[in-house]
Amino acid sequence: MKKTAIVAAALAVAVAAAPTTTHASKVGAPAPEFKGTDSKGKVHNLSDFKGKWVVLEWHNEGCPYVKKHYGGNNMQKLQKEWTAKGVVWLTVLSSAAGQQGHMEPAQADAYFAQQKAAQTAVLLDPSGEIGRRYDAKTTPHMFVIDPDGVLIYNGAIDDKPTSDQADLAAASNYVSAALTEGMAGRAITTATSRPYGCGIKYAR
Amino acid sequence: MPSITLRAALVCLAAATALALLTVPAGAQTPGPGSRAGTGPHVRVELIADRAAPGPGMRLGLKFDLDPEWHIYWQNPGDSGGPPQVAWTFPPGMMASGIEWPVPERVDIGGLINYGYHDRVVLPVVVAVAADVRIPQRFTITASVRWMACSNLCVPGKAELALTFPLGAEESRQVAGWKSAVDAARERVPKPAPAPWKASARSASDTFVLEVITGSREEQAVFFPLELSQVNDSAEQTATPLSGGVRVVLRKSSQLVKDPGVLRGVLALSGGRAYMIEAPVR
Repeated sequence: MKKTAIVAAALAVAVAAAPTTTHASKVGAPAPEFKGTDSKGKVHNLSDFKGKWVVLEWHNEGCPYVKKHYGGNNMQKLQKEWTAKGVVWLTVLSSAAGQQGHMEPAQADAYFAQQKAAQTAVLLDPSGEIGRRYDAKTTPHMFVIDPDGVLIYNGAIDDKPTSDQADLAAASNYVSAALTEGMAGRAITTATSRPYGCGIKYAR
Repeated sequence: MPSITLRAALVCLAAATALALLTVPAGAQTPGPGSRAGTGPHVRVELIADRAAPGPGMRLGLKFDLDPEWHIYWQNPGDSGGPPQVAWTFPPGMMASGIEWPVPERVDIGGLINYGYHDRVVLPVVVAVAADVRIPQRFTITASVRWMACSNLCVPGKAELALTFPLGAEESRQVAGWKSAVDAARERVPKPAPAPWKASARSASDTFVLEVITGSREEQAVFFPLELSQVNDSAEQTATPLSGGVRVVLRKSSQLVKDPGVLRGVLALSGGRAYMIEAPVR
């Protein structure tokens, strides 16, 4: 009897908590608003970018899956290609202080300069607030937001869920596909996929 | 284009390797393309077999020993990571027909959930043997294994493993132990759900309510989805015993756009019982 009551209570909590986490990053729905500070100290709100395409890229420099895409110059190429077309590309670091992938502002600037990265800004999110709002799971985990602020892609960077650079050449990139189709006014063929990579080292 | 060329080269290489194995005279020492055991950071892996004389029904095993706090992955890795991958070479007439995955654990990594294995796991692999091909007297099976091992951090590893038959003296001494290890792992491989069982899943807005009627009250149940991006892996699962089974409430994945027709996965029950279930979604 007592057990049933506890289970029922747990169920009630689970159901009550559901809307904030499950629907937060559903494609076709407005992307969750956020306020984040970048490595230069500048504050960005998602709403500042209304009218522009936005890409969110979750990052942890020590993660082998991230190293695949940076070591193979794949991420930098994507950043260059799409920012040149007016896309706002935000790299988000949600590792908590003391965890792999956490960076102080100057450290982030030096590291991304050395990587020859070409994102619009690097958002430092050690509290994990932006990450949790998007239910970001892995590094990398990619999101694409259209100029109306609607989330049009949530998932992996491509269709080869490995940490091996050799797999880059044959991979089909979901972010490029979503941006290409979205900009052409077409439906997004792959609007979600399972993000692959290392788990994000959130603050507990 | 380069990838196709690479693939073609690999195919040629594989063919050449197979040819090399074919042309080795019986009794000659085959140059080892790898050794029976390999190591990577925090991981030791061995290629074992459940018998000394290869034949139908034979199983190989990939035995992983992991440092404390480190894990490798099940076929669906959960929130992050990825399963081990193996490329095999066999003599003509033999081939691997896939890993038999033992039931995994839910591994909590900072609030994200991985499906995987701690400490030690043997992944059994069934070897299919063609009836009409004579297995050479002496041959080597090789396994090129790549894996991702994670604790809070992740480190990829790889090993080139090989096992030559007939087994050497040292291997022959170990084969009884290998067989127990492979058999024990097979005990933990989920069985098909018994025919009278009924599984169904009701789709609510944010959840799947999975009900499995087993004929008796089930005090514990954990569902491991086989498909990616259906269930929110890190969400807590709420299992409620029913008089003739169990109900498990699963949160939907935020990657799920449209309800699947069926939820496929492993239902792990008390006492180490585990079954493959297919629950039509309605």
